[in-house]
Amino acid sequence: MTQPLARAPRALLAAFFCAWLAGDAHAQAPKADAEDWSKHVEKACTSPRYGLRLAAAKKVAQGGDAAIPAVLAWAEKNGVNTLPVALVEAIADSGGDGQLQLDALHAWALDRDFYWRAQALRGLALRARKDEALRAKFAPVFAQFVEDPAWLMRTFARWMSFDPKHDFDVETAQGQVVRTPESDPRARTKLAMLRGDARELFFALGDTRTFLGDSWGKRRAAEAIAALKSLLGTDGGYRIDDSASGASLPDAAKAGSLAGAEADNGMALARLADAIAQRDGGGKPEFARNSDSKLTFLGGIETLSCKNGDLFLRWTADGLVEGGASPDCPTSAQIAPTRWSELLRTSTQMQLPPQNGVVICDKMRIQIRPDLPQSAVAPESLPGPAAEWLKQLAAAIEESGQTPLADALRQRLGQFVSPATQVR
Amino acid sequence: MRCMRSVALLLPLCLLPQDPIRTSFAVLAGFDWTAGMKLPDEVTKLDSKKVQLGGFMMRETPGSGPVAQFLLINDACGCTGTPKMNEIVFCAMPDGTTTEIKNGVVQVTGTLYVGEQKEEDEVIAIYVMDVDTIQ
Repeated sequence: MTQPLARAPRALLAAFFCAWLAGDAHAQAPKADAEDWSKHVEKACTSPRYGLRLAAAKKVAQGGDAAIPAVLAWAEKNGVNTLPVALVEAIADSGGDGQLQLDALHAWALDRDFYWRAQALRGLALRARKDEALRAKFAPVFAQFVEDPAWLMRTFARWMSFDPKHDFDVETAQGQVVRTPESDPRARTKLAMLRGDARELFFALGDTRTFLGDSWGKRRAAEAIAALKSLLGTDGGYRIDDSASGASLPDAAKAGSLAGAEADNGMALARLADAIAQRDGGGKPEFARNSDSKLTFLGGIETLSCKNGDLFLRWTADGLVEGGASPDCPTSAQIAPTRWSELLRTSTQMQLPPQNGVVICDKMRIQIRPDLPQSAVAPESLPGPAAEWLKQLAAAIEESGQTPLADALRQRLGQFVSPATQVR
Repeated sequence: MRCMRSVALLLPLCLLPQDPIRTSFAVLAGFDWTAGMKLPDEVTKLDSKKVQLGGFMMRETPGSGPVAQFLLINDACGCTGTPKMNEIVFCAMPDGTTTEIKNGVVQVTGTLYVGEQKEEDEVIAIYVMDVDTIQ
């Protein structure tokens, strides 16, 4: 069911589209525009070749306001969520400052049901950073999303709302002061990239953590080293894949206790630390290793949602459940032994197809047991038995005292459970 | 004669299947790509080599069922943004075979081809792989 909040931006977009049809918007488009933008938009949305979709998206974005009516017409006819992320991102990143583009980005950013609202907010942010009037105009929009459950949305909102020196102090449109520091490591790194915060980026270099086999920590480190290279003009020779297991790599390298690629990496980190200290005028940043714990996990679920935010949950053979809104799973719950035995027993009766529904953006990745392959689940496509099992897991987590984690799981189930299955 | 014998003895060793070179997206995507640029030596040296690479399988277009081609990317859903050209390996299964899109991280082994490929005057790929195995 559509939430009332989601209707407002849609109504805005519809009114905006109607105004264009009436000729108001057309008057603002360049007069000598002979391009058939609808063809380029269609190609950006439907070409079977990824590269051609990407190229068409860039062309549409470079068309500026002249191309926007064709984008809106496509969205009106086929649904706004058939617009690919590449097109929205291209408009956000390389589009101009035309009124039609601004209006489209604004409406998309406010639409909670639009998959690529964070990319749209980024488009507003990039423009607002170059134009004080736009910054003032969109300030309430940015403030509105500083606590958004979707980390990317939150990141762009915080980039535009917070003073970097007072990271968690902002007055919202409602007059409330938000004082929540960013805890998601992915968001911290992205925010540091946007702000050019070399120390925070350096801190991310030591991350090798994984979730259900996904090396998200190394991905974070790779983003950080690319951003540092851009900031400092050098990556110091640091190579993500050659990182070592020691906690104080630069010191060890200088002391000569490392060899080969590890030693090179240690020296690279030392060079980076020197460069950061020289740039910022402070002390050298400390290198910290963030690696997986020694626990072995039997299974888990990962729900990625541009709308509702992410949820990560994983469990051990002993019924220890770790979870949270970020892949470092900051919360843990110990399920009672009898309850966990029953959950393990019922898990053996479950089989999930590898694909459940067609995934566009929001998705669940689930592994009930290590002997079964992982499955992907689109919204409203989680089969009944798995939904029931996860509902029981939520109840067990609640019994262990971690009610917020249990509630988060139930909320995500609401999005992914097949409509034929009711979860209460 | 002795020399000839040595060559004959070593020849079978050359014909043994090569161990794949382990590489990663940290290497493949470790530079800002722009169309027409000279690609870094670190990636061009992998051209036509047997490599092993971990990543997520993604369909080139939304759908279901087995595929003959797929994209290997570094991010589970691409929600954080559009993968750039050097963040994608365009993978082709052996002729006449298909694969299901597996969930989670997979290790793909095959022959990697490095270099810009164009269609309709647009770069449509930098990395293409003929897949041998997916694990």
